[in-house]
Amino acid sequence: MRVIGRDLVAGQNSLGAATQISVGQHAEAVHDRGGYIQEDLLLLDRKLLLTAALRGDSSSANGHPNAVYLYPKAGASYRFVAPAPNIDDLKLRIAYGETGNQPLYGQRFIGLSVAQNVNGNPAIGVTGVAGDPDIRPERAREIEAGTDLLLLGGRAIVELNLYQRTITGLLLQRAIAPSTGFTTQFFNGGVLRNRGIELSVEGTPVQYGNLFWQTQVGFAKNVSKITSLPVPAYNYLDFGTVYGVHRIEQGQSATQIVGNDGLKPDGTCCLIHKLGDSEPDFTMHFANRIAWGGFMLFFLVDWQSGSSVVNITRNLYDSGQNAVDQVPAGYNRLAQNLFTARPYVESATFVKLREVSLSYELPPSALSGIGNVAKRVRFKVSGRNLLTFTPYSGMDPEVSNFGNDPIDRNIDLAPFPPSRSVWTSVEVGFY
Amino acid sequence: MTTKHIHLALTGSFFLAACNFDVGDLNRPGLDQVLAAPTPAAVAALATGLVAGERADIASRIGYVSELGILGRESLVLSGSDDRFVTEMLNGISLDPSTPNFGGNFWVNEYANLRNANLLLDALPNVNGLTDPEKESIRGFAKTMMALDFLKVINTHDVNGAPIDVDLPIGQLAPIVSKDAVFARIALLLDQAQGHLLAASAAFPFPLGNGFTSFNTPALFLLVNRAVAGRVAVYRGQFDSALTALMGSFLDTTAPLSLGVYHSFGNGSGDTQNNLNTTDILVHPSIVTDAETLASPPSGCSGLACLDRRVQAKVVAVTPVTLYGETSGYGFIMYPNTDSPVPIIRNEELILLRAEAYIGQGNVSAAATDINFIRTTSGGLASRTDLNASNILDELLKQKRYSLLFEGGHRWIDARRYGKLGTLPIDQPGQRVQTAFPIPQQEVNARGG
Repeated sequence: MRVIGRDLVAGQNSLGAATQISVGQHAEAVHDRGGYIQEDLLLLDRKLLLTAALRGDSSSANGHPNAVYLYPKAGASYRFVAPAPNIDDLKLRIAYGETGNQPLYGQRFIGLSVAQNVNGNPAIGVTGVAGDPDIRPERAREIEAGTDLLLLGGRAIVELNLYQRTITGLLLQRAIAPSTGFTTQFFNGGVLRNRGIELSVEGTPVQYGNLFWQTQVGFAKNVSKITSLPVPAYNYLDFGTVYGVHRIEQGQSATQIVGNDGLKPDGTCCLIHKLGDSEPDFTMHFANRIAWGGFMLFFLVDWQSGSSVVNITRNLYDSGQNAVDQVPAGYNRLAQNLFTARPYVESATFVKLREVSLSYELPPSALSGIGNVAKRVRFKVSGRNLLTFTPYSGMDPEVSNFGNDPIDRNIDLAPFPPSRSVWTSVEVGFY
Repeated sequence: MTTKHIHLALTGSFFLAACNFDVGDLNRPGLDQVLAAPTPAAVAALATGLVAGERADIASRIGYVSELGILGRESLVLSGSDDRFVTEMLNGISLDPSTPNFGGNFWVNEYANLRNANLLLDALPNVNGLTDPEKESIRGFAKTMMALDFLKVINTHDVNGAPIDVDLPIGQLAPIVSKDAVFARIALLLDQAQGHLLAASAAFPFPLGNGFTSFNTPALFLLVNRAVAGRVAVYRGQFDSALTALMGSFLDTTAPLSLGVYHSFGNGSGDTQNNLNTTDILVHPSIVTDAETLASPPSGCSGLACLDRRVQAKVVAVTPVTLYGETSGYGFIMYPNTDSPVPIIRNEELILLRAEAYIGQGNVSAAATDINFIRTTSGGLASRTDLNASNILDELLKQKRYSLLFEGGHRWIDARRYGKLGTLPIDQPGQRVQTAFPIPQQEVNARGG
């Protein structure tokens, strides 16, 4: 339930002081049923683990509420204990699993809007969004293989993971021909394949006296591809190919960004080509923890390489003739924008000092000086988003105009950027 | 190797006894329910929904009045927050089919309203509680509104054509047909509506809202239907049937020129506001510079006060604004409030349409009478005695330009019909007059193009 009041009497902040009040109420109810059966076997001197399970779900959010959808999974892992010098433990694992992601409430209905009226007379009509009465959960099949290594008496850990996740019956809100009276429709369609690799190396390079340095490096790369799409390729309803939009197209990355790119041969606007991808080529992170006596320094560095952002905020500055480089670059961008979106599709590569904290814990001797009332006292200064190194011209390359959407990210139209924050704290423990 | 430990875990739960645990739509009436078992109230709300849909993209910066005004050099939108009113609509090489609010405009709302109208027509046979003449009145109203929707689509998309047989299940696409075929469908809908209205009840079983106050019974609404039919026949160059239709309309030289039907707006919650009263909508300066002086201007007058009464009633001097190379020092005062109505069709246009039909028939003297009636009555200008076959069309277009200024793109549409887009002013080198909106990219994509 929400209430919006417009044209408030000056200085008032009560809804009762509004000239125009609109009330929205939205109700949701979903009935789910599920059951599962699982069996685990630990065999061969606790070295071999076998798991198998079967899950069944049904939900009123599906087009057929009484249908049961079954999801099996199975996995195996085997541990080698001290298989070679300096290798303490080696684990090989492989797993296969299916999961379902059920539609949201209401995606099966074609409802009529009741929000409008004409001079107080109620009006109903289509909303532009059509549901699918046969909608069902999307099904993800994931096969994952990996290895975990424990080295040098526990001073180093290596984890490697390879996966392929194939989602069939992908739940999408596709754009349909508006001449049907609707602009989008929820439906199950297409197959999305994600392949990726994750590598993590954790080690303690320095452990000398009371000096201790622990570091962890992570690397991840994911490649997505729409391997099948039963409907014509369509664009997300972002802000038009004049700036760049996401496009769902068979054989292409699920997160590709397309935009205007030159005039058509007949001189009209515009050829549309792929100009970027919101998925990075890879991401890495470096986490470090250095302790010395009561001091502890932690810092986390994130690196993203090769993602793209549609920077409409920059166009706002340009068209408002207010860009820092308005003459001549801003005007040039506007002139080019008549036939290409390239000036506003930018690289989102960055290196960020994501988090830093420095803390100091009082030694027990200092605590006795205050009568041992407190058991622990720690002073801490920490900060987030302190430094960003990026060629991106906007506030922050990590933007999403449409919230936490898996595909429709990296559209920058004057959003609230991630904030930089610095915290100081004193922690006192009494037991 | 021997097995030393076997852990076995078994968990499970069993489905409850099967019972239907379906949950319906808790927020909105479903399309299928309305279609299968409509109530008189649902039908009335659908009919009112057509009025709401008709005005949906009329009265904002990105609406029909404003954007067609820009293309026809009636108005400008000089906004710091969006340059496309100038860069795309005036400077653009062509309109961009992929921007929903600009080149891709005047499609989504119109076809949504056509879906609503078809839903209403399909639901009517299933409704209990309405008499057959009442159902006829709804059919007559709905088909007239459908004609207006198609007219908006084809006025904007012109030679690019449009789909017409759109009453199909979601996912099936009607073919895009030619401009002539769309106009033929519009005329057919209007004539069918005429038949329904002639067989209709004395009153409509639903409220039409404030925009139809003067024409809120089927018998009176028939006059509106014929007025629209007259406009469509003139657009098709069928001047004999245009005069017949106009004779059956509310054309009346003794009635107020403002008599007509309007898109009505309101400030009540859930109502739509008229958002044309913003400071970034300005008058194209050529409107003022091309205006004629009054037949008897007030002594010592200057500026706007000496000009055509229509300009004085619609235009006011404001602090000049310059942006993107465009300058204007005039704003509109036609829609001062957020509930100001916008004309759908009114008496003054009908008189001018009659003059246009007379011109088409070669009847210069009858046309001159109507044109001079508008010049004197509406403009306060002197009658022209020099009108002849070679200059009367330009004079008609000029009177239409001032009488119907900023009411729905009349200047752009009229100039295009007579191949006179080249006479519209070009403010900056490289600008051009766009001739038609392209088929929206989303429509093209969905058709596999």
